[in-house]
Amino acid sequence: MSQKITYDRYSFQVNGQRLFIRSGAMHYFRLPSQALWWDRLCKLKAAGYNTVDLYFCWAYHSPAPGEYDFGGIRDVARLLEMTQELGLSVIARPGPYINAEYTGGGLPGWLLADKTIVPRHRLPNGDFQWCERYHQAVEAWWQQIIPFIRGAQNVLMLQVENEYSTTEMEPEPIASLMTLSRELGVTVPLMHNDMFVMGLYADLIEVYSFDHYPTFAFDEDWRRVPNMLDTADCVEARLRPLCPNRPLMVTELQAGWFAPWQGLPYERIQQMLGRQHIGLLTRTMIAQGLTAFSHYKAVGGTNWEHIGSTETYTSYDFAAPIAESGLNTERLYEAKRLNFLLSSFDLTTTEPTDTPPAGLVLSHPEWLYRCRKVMDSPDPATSAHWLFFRNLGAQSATTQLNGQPLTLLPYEARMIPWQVPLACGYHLLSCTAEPLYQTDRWLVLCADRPFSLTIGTQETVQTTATAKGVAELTLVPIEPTIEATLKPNSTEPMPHAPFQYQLRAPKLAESESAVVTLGQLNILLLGSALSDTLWLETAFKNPLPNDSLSPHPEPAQRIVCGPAMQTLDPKGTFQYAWELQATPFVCLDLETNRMETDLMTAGTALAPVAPIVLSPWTVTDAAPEMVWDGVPFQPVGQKQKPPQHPNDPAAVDFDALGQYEGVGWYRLRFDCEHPCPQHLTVDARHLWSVYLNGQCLASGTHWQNQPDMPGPPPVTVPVPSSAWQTDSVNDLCILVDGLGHPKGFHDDMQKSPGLLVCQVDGRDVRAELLFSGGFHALRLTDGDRADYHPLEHSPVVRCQSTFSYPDLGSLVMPLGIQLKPSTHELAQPLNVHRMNLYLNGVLVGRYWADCQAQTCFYLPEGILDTRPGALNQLDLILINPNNYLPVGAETAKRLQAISIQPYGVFTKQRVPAKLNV
Amino acid sequence: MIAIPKFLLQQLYVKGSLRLEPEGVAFDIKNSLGPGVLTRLSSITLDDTLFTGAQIKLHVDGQWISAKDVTEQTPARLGLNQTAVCVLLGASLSPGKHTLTVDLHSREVGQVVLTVHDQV
Repeated sequence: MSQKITYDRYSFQVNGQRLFIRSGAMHYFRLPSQALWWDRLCKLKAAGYNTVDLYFCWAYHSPAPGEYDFGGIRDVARLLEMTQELGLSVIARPGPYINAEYTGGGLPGWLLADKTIVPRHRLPNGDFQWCERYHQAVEAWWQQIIPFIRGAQNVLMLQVENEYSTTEMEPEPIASLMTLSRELGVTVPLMHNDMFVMGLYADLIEVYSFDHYPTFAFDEDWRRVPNMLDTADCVEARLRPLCPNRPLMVTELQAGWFAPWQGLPYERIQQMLGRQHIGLLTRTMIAQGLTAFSHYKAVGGTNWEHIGSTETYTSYDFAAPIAESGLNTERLYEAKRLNFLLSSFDLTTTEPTDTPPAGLVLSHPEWLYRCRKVMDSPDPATSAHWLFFRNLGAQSATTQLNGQPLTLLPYEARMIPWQVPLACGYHLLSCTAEPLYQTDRWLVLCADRPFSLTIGTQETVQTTATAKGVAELTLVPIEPTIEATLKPNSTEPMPHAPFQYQLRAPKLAESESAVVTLGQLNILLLGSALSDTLWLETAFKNPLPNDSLSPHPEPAQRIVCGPAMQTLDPKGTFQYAWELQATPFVCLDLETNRMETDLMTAGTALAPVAPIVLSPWTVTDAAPEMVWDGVPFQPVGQKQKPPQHPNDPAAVDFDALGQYEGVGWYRLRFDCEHPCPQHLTVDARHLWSVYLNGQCLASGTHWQNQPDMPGPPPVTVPVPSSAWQTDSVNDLCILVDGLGHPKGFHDDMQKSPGLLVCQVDGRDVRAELLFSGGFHALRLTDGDRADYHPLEHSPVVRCQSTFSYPDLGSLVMPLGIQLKPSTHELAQPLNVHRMNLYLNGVLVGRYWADCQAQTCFYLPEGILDTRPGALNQLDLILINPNNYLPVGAETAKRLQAISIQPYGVFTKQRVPAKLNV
Repeated sequence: MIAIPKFLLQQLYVKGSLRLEPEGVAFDIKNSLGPGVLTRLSSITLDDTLFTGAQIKLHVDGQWISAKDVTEQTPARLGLNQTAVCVLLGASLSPGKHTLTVDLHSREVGQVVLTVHDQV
């Protein structure tokens, strides 16, 4: 922490230089390889984010009391190094509670299992109760994680707790963490995020911040929800009095939303939010004077294994700007436009003004949402303002700004400069388009609609009235129809800009571009597709954040427009991912002013991609309790129990047995004498099935997507006397599939998965059970199955297949397991109720027909062996308690409905070498 | 239950708004927190008397609705700084100090239990 982080009313400052924090959240624990970390961080950087928000997840690093794992995919030191190598700053959020739809909100299972602990010093009703043992556990966690954070050079601030409150707002929980931070050597400002936007702990914490998610119900279109922006619209009025000498900051600004079981698939949420949501919300926040935001989340991830909380399914794409698969979305393009603008224009020191600036004439002033005056302009003679226009209607709106049309698309906000000084020394007197980017010689604008701009200069300058552009450039194709009416106009002379030049630009086709010149300023106009795919190449000379504002110490060296993605290699050079089609591109060398346009069609770009073939499926029964001995069941009474259930010594839920997550089998083997028992009573979280001598008697669900609603009562089922074996041992088995711990936001995170009730004719038999966790079939070899007698039909079957990872060369091709539930093969004859998908022994997908939203499961690199030719193994565990599946070829044939599919295919290529400098 | 600080909850009740009207006892709720979607109004207790469902009438967003009609499927919206009027049908009110407990669910924060005291 060698940087000096300070702040004032307007913004944060790093070593005295102002910084507009443009952050995006990334969950490294949902990206199970360091290669994925690097890839996603590169994409954040390429999209103009200058900061990454990192939760550090206690549960992910601590499997048992006193045990910590910081190696491999848990190597946070390496993660922080990567951020430094990319020039990203870090907002560090080590919890202890993180929520994040992580099981138990990120508190370890072993901690939650101890019922003498009061997590977060807060009782389930919200009342505060100091718990010294909890504090000691937190202290032990922070003693491990804080040194990593303290050792990083690029941390901007550290968050204590997360969205915390109690009914009486006692200060101790937050104050104790602040004290602990300082005792552990943290020197950066301490921040807390208020989920109510009501100033909670503003008098205690150093940096007050808040979270804001105006849209989380997707049964209606947010565009038609009244009052959606009510809170956003009152941020400055409500919070500025609390922060007279602190910058306004939003720690979690909605950039997507998680989907629960029974919710919508993420593709649909992406569509519903659209690019308008992130654009409208972020610009509204900037209009409210915020100079620090973090998009939550900017990067999607995967709930691999059992890291997700009760309510979430496998994908945690979050409809984030960068999808779970790593592909860019249109929402990233929208965020990127804002980030590039904020990186090249200074909006760190502004104040709101009630009256529009002098000289501004609007035909429809109702479209002007807010106006901010630049307070720290390098040119005191100017009256620089930023005008925020907003259209919350379903129709486009046009207003005349000093006689020139300014068009707003539906649900769109735009940041419009007024008399803003440019880096080249001229002034952007007015403009009816939102700038994309500027350097000291270039101004880049999106020409997705007609617009005009007026440039002011101190003297007359040479202009190029046609789009032939800068003389030495070869600009192909030229847009010949552009109306570049550049002419001096001194009818309203200004002291700082006595000469004015107006450019009226038409709408360009989406892949068209044009350049006009005005003295030493070149104006690059881009169609909408080229604007979305605009990328900056910036030197990486300085490992520390290189984003300080004007003048730009390390401006972009090249601009490349056209490729769908930009990425970096570890040496800091640039590569791009081009869609597998002929793609127009523009490459502009800002040092030499050389420019080229062409189509990217070279190499393997247009080559067809061979499908990945799965080997024939083998299908076997996989219910270990029914078919052989030797599975390591243990008496539950012999499991070492912490004193976690003082009021329920017979507790045999997963926490009580020290398993905390996943799947468990409970077993009772006993001789049966006449009269045989007549009833079984069972309750278990979250999905359960009871088998007696291999036959399913009942199955049930103890789960609901409404937090803290009472669960269903235990189920009592009659047992026919014919189900019992009086001449041999009876085998009663209960399969329990846990969905994790609640995340503890609305609900009680100490509700463990596992068996809750098991009675035979009303007699509690929990203490007599044996227990075994997991699907052991995955670990058994053929040699273990010596006394195996296969079943023809089974409630639980295991399906195995393999596939070779192809040699992709320069292609980028994220892969997923695609189910085809709409096809006859999977939906009807197979009739799968639940399915767990394992890749190389790691759980990467959970399908649950009753609550299903996900039909494609991403295969994360790291779990997926991506070495060319590497053999990857798929294991599917199919569970159909009430409709047994045929074992063997019949089911195998039906599994042809499962395939390996790419999310997209791209070719990775540099821009033409002849343009390299 | 989410931990909503009491001081925030109590800001919702418009102090001094408890009153007797022709249809019953009325009081005002002003939403000073943020736009909210009311998905259930479980009950209102006035001193020791419980009111539920059709016994409660609400004036929200320009129209009167019964509490029994407020559901997840047919919620009631209350924008920031908007005021709702609650009427406990048939209730009577004597001069003096009274205790009100409102038990509701909102889409944003789940269950909310608000207890306030007011003087008539």
